Amino acid sequence: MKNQLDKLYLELDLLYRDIRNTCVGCQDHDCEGYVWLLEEEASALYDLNVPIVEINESISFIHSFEEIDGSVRVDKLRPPCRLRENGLCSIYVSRPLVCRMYPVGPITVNGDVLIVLHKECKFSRNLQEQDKLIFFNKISEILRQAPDSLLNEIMDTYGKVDAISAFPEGPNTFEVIIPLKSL
Amino acid sequence: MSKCKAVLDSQKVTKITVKSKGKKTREAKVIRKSK
Repeated sequence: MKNQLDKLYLELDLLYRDIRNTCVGCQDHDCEGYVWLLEEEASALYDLNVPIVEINESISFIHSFEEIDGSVRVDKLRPPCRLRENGLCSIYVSRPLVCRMYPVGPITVNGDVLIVLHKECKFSRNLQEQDKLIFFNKISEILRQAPDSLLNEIMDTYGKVDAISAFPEGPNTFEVIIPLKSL
Repeated sequence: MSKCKAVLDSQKVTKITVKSKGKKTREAKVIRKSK
């Protein structure tokens, strides 16, 4: 699975290779929220000395949770990632899938996991209609090339995350790219 | 990158385990009320 995940990482990195040009001057929130991990990502990041929080013995996150006297708060809105240093990701080459995909990501609507484009992102807002279609096609193609076992793992892991999530500020704004199960 | 507005529902979190390499894995209590 690791090689398959590395291949997906590489494809996403190529797709987003010029995104930093768009990110210049961005005023949106960045590197915030609860970063969930696939099992092999949690294991690899743990080995790189990244603290991991495991919830309900089944879902792993990068430890960006607020701790008070050793107790953990799970409902703080947009906790900043502890791995961001001087505005940069300190584990950039090893960053997990959810970070590599953004502003694309999974969302559950009526029980279906959809791959969507989040709108609270300068890159998303700057995409013109024709470029957006090309981008959607590229993302869909990249995901279609991933093996079913990996897509199922992403869907299962995200499903577990979504089952314990809440949206006190209302849902994210997004545009649907493709249902994950149709890939 | 992540800018998701989601938080975790503290009522659905039953167990938290904090793991850091070189440190003893520990179980932590969940803070169930926002301060």
